Amino acid sequence: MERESEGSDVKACVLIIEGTNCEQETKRALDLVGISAEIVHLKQFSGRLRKRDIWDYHAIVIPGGFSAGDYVRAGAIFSSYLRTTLGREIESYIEEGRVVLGICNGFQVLVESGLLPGFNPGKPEAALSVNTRAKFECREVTLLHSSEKGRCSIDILIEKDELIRMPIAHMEGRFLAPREVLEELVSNDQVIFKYSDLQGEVKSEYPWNPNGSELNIAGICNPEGNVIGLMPHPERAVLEFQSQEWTRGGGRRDGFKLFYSLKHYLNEV
Amino acid sequence: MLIEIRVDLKEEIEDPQGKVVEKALRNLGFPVKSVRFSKLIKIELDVKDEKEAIETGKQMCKVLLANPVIEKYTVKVIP
Repeated sequence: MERESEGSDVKACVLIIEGTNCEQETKRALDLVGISAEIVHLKQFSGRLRKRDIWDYHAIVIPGGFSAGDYVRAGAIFSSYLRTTLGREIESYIEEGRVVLGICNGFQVLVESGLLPGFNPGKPEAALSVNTRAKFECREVTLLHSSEKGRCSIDILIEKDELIRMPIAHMEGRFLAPREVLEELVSNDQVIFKYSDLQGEVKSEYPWNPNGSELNIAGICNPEGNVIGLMPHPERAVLEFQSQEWTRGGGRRDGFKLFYSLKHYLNEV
Repeated sequence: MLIEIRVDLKEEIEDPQGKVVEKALRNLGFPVKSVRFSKLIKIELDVKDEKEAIETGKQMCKVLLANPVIEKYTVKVIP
């Protein structure tokens, strides 16, 4: 595979703990667009062994998986370790404008830690609860890019109302939040992706909305746009043959656009 | 000292697991109206008195064991 990352000075850290399982493909996707990615265990930020510093990376990506076996609630244990290991440091990292992206389980971690929606870091203001049909949903979905182009660090190459196809794979993806939090999300244009039908119409019923999310929310960002959480997996849509259309002569690679946007963003800042 | 923490989904939050079990039980012929799941966590604590035990339990719920958006909790001391 051709990589652009040779000699790239844009660096990302793919942050894992035990039970994370999408780190390899996430690293691949980042490398593919020219972001030099390194898989780092959270321990490496505190211990002496292979010690790392978060300030050496322009972005932190928390990949999908089942961190700590999804015990207590999906992402809850990871988020508590994040607090004890990085605590205030991750908050200043975000205040400085560096990027934190959570995919699937990573989104759950960011919501549990209160970094998303990000109105009041340190306290969860939303939840990613069990899908209404109590099933693990694993398939490609259509997403409507509902925010403005360039609202956050991963959509600067995606037009408003553009349709994106990406796979989902989760059991706990139902975005729930109190009414006032939802209203604020909408008024700040923080809802980046919504589940929609094939034509881009936002329909709240199954199967278009796979998990029963409020407002069909599939991905959001913080008010500043540098912390992003997505339930769908862009790293599973960066090459044509990952698409379900591949064998029928088609094949989109919409996830690539998200990572490529991130690369552009990181090059600019 | 032993405490028992019970974490429930708030009434207004749907419980998909409960719904599935409700259907299965009804299918088996039981006169079931509704089913809801909750979590029961038993924790042995190294604290002096009951007041401290309850306080510690509540703190645990706040920082990890419950998400206040969808869950509520009760803490009690087991004699």
